[in-house]
Amino acid sequence: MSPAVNPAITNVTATATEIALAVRKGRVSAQEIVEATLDRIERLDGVLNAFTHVEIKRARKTASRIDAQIGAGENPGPLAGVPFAVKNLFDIEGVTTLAGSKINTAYSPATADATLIEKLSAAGAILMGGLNMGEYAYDFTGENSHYGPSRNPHDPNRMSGGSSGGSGSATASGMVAFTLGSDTNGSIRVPSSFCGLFGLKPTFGRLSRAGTFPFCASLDHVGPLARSTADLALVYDVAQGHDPRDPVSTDRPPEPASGAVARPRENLRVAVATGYFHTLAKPEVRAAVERVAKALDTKRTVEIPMVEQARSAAYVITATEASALHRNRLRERPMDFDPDVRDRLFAGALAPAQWYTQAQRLRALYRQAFLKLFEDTDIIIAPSTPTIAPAIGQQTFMLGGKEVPVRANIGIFTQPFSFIGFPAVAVPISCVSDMPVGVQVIAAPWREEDALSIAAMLEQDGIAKSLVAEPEALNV
Amino acid sequence: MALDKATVRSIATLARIRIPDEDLDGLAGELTNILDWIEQLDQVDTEGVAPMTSVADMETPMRADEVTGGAGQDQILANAPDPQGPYFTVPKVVE
Repeated sequence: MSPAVNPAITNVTATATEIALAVRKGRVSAQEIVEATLDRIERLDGVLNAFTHVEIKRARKTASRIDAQIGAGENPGPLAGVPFAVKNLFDIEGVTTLAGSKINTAYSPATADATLIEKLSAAGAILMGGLNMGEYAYDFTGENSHYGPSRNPHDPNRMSGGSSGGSGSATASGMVAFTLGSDTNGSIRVPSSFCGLFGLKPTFGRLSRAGTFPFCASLDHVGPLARSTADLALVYDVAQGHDPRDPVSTDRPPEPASGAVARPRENLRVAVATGYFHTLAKPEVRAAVERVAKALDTKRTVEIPMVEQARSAAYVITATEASALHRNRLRERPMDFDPDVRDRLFAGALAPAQWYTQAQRLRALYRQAFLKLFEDTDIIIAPSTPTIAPAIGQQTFMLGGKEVPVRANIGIFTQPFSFIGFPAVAVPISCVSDMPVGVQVIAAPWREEDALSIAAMLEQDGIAKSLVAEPEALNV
Repeated sequence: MALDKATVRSIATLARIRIPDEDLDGLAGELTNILDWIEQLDQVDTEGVAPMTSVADMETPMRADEVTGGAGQDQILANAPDPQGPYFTVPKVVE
């Protein structure tokens, strides 16, 4: 029998910050939180298909340990009793790391948690399980031919966005307070946009990737998805710190951002990206960007140079690095890949090295040019996705007057920033259409604090808002 | 520029990768996409620009250069089936 559920906590709009406070004050026990969370997963996940694995035993055990700490007058940490879940490319001790694939089911279970899970658990957060994702993270849709699509809680007939689709779905439906995802070309920011969440893709090298299944080593980032800027900053602050197990992990001391969210930095110079970012966006997406510009009282615009080439270079680097990683699996078990992923990996495997080098030269030039823009600007605003979430299975959409494939074009606005490692916060903009859509707040390298300041201002003004999809709204 | 199936098959052979026949069409499309991207990249003059392999500075972690004990001679020789004094003995290989 599960313990009685405290009605205060069945309120799914509770954020991580609110839950942690309630647990630390003893107003609700961690065990009650876990039982309410398991109930909600049980009730909603049949439709949403966000979880591939629920850690029932581990969650209950952690909760009782946290309650014992509270009982003994100890402080379990800033995330005390907060339920969270991770994209299934993060190692969970005792669980096989699927990375969305069928092939990995043959591998041994992980012998330890990923670094970020360790850090969050040490801060009192409770891991509820692993989440569905696009195969090997090579995806923007949240669809998966082996495990089925994770669905958008705001309309289950639509895509959750990928590749961290389960992360978007689980957070937006209130099954957990926050999730971890990874972002190589947009895989945190795209599901944040489609599911109406705040998502942070930090500076390349800021958060440790140790204990995650890679996609493209020179482009991979990890980060949180949450329903408030305070939660995003809180999780980000706990997750920071040098990790010798990730070769690109920065040795800069942690630069906490929670303060900037509580008291946003004023007088930041904001410019809106035009050209490419305007032409290729649908009207409701343009409207979201305009709302943000108006709220921030900026008329400044910026034209980002070489942006189309940057996108092309990101594609080439992604295809070649990923195919090098998967080369043996492609040789030995080609038919066990998701067909869409297989074609792109094969193509990458056949690309001459000279193309890869050309893409890296472009990356150096583009990064230089982009850094120059930040000499007189602190923040660049750009849409997260060109459209609201397409229907699951949709193959094409209209973009800039042309019919183009969905898969290859969802990430056109996110790739140009992750490609050169700049930090970006995806912010959900309310009331521009029935479905949510996101806007990116991009800052200079290591200035996450600035991007989170702007996101917090937009949240305080009521422009940015993350709404929990209520179960009765699930129209299936 | 579009690639046909025969060309893709021959590139795959050169790369020592066996491609299932039903994948050739999809693959020709993906490779053609990459060719289009490369055409775009070629519009930019990158003469003399060093390729950027990563946006993060990566240094190989170094351990401290310290004299450590290691195992003693006796311990090391204890692993050998037939030590002679301070030496390993090995089967004769040259007559």
